[in-house]
Amino acid sequence: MTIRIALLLALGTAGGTQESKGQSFDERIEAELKKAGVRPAPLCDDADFLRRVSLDLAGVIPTPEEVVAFLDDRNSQKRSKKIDQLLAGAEFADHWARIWMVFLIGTPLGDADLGRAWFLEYLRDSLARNQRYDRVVREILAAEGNLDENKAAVYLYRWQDAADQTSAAVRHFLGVQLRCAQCHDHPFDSWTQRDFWATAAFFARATRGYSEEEIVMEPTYGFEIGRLSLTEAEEGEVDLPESRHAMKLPPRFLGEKTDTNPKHRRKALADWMTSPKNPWFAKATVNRIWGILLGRGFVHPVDDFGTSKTPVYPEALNRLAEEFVRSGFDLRALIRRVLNSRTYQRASRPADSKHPFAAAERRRMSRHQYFTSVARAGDFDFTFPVEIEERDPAMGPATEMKDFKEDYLYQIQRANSPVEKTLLRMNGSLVIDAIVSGKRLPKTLETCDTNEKRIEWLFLASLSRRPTVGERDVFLDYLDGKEEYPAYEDILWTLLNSTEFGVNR
Amino acid sequence: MTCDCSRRDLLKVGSGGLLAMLFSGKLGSVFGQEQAARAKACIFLFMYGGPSHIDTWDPKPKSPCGGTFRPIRTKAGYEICEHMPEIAKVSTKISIIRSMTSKEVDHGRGAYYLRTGYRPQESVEHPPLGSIFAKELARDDADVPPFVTISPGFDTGLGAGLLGEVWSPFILDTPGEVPSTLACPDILSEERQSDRLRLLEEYEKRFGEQRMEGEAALARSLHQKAARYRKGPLRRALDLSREEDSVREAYGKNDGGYTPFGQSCLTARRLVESGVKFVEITHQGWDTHENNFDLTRDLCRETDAGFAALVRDLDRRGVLDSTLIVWAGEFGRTPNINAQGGRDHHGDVFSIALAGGGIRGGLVVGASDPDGSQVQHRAVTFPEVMATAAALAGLNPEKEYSTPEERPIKLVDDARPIRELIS
Repeated sequence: MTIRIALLLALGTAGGTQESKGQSFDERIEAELKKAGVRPAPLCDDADFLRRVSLDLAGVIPTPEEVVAFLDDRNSQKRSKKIDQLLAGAEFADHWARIWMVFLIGTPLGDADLGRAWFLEYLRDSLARNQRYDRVVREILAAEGNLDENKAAVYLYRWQDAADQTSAAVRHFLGVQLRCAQCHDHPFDSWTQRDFWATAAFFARATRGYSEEEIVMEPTYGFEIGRLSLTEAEEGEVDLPESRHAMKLPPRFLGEKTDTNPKHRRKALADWMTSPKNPWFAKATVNRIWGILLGRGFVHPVDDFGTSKTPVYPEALNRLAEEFVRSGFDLRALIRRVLNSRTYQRASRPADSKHPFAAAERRRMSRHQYFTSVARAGDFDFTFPVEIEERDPAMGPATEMKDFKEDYLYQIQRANSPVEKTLLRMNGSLVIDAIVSGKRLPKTLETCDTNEKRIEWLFLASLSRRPTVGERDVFLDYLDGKEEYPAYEDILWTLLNSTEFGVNR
Repeated sequence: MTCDCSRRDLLKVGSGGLLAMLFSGKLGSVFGQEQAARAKACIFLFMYGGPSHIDTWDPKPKSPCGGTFRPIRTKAGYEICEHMPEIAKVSTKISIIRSMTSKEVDHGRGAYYLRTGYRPQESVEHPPLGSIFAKELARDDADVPPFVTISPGFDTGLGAGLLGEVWSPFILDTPGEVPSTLACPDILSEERQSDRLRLLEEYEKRFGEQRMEGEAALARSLHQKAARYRKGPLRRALDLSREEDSVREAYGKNDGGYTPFGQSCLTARRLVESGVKFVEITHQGWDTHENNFDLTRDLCRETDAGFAALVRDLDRRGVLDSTLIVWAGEFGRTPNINAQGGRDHHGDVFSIALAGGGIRGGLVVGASDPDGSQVQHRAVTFPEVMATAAALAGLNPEKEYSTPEERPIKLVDDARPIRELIS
């Protein structure tokens, strides 16, 4: 118990020492690195910055025209201008809605997954309007109504009972892992089984409904189903399992000492969770966003704020969390703040787990990033389907793309082995189509008059940078004595199959 | 677990022998913890949709819910549905569990439970048995993928769970065909394909490995593996035209030609022979909410030909004893026949079948009640089936894996092998 109180104090009143007051999170991280004798990497160059920020915000590499314009731009504020431009784009809401959906709903699990496309629409709309994040979470947790009408209700509907809803909501919104305490006191955190079930009591009245009387079109799978609903019952309690006498547990907020008896339990929980005073909400959200953008969180894994775990650079995390609260839980402002930092904009090095954030960590593209980037590199018209998972860093299509219009849910969602992904990168039909049917190659050959310029343009279109002289010469040599068009197809194929292409560098 | 060596054996081997056993890795069996591996590979016949137990392995001719099929007596003595005559002939090699029970009656959740031995939980991704076999039994430098899934047509979203994607299945869509990614694309000549690969290799070696240190090395090893898959025994194993027509036919043929399920079984045999450790085949269509009897009759015939031919073929080639075969769906179907002539999901009791890999054949484990509605005795769960498979493969069911949060997850969820099935 003492551990927990100490933690609440540490988390609750973020402060820090006298001298560190007023320092930005960048300065705090740099001060720590200096103490450890680690020299941080310099800032990345403009080409790396543009590619990174495009993949992170829009989920796709920039066009070659965009790269050239950015490299030639002499404005000293061009990085922050680019960040603002991308944050305002439609691709941002779409890409982040997918990231957020997978974080909240996870992998498909059969019938319980109905309504994924509704939820994606809800998230996309919230992100496009920059709905404040505390409000989003309140809408999700207190949701009532038919799923086709109140799309935020899909989240709780997915979980079959109060126990699953509890461990999901606490993990997703507070970054706390309570699951182990469902069956026994937590083995290495201080959570008790009572803590778990007193939280579950807030979900005791959530009721999943299904009505065959009314038929609606389910957009994820495209078939008609009975209407799904989530309502709040008048009554309903949870029992502490394995207690001698069935013991009804009243709800109690995690970490507090007294029970509560609100009228609408889920609303009360949502208000408590999203309050500026909640010890975890702001930090857990900051940590997750940071993890998405930097490759790892201050707390890692990002949803494991255990009572026995200390974040790296705790003061930097506190600082960002304070700012997030002050902004009124403005997600876009938080993302903008991180992207404009020196820490985000450092040159990349292979990951160094001892001194995280001394350099940028290279990350593999997700499926969404990879597919859309292949299409953009080849200037091939392609729309990424709504249901496909973001979770798995893919580096390659899940399957033959030709089939995926007929049956893409089954065809593409599944995970494959890395060798299979390699094979699909080599010979999968999206890659083939992007090269053979995309407009990139014919346009490049038509508009650029020398082989040097053509090769440079293909580098800009695929790797978002200009080639070095050595790189260019390898391809010039390859062209020598070959039929021109097929040789250029081979060059674009090689660039798409290079390690660098599948990496957010 | 039974112990390989009697106490007398132990005395006989003496201390020198004991030392030798220690070094040969057999100490576990001396203390009765583990048994020497019997199953070197597993073929998992996944009957997706949930087969009716009453209309397959557990006939109830006297029950009002018994349906329209008649039972036939098998060579082993137990009765099965009349539409599985070939299985009846090899029944002495096959054992049935008629007392399976599961609380998961949603397809996705049930499939997860069957494939991993764990009920789905928020926050943990358990590995399927195939990934466990792959990780524990395969060599990294193998020329074939350790875990292959044929014609899945479904997705649980699960690759290898917490074991990591390297142990995910290699997926084949169409049995009997070499997938286009292993072959050279139509639009390319072999020569151009080689040119491309050489160009990529040169580019990566000269530039990629400096720019992308670490990632490029991984990519290189994946390319080398991909090349081995494209040129090596995998591609040969997948090419069923190398088999006699009579063999292909034995695995099942109907008006539409060779059945996909049968050709998947034949492919599985060839894959196991080429070194694959786990092959999962999905036989779809068992979700017979309507028109149960027409559909199940056809499904039984497909399963009958494929499963029986697989048992026979492996036996003839002397590898049945080292190849475990599991035939199972995610749940059974109701005794009650609904207004559409269908049967609905039923988890309280259902049947699965096992053969080979050290399984004692011809047995029936457990029983359902006279209506096929509840377990009558010896309830068995999926984790016990997992524990049995693990034990036969020489794996310790208590072995712990770790989640990203360093939470330990046992290979098998608190279950013991089904002793009477282990020969």
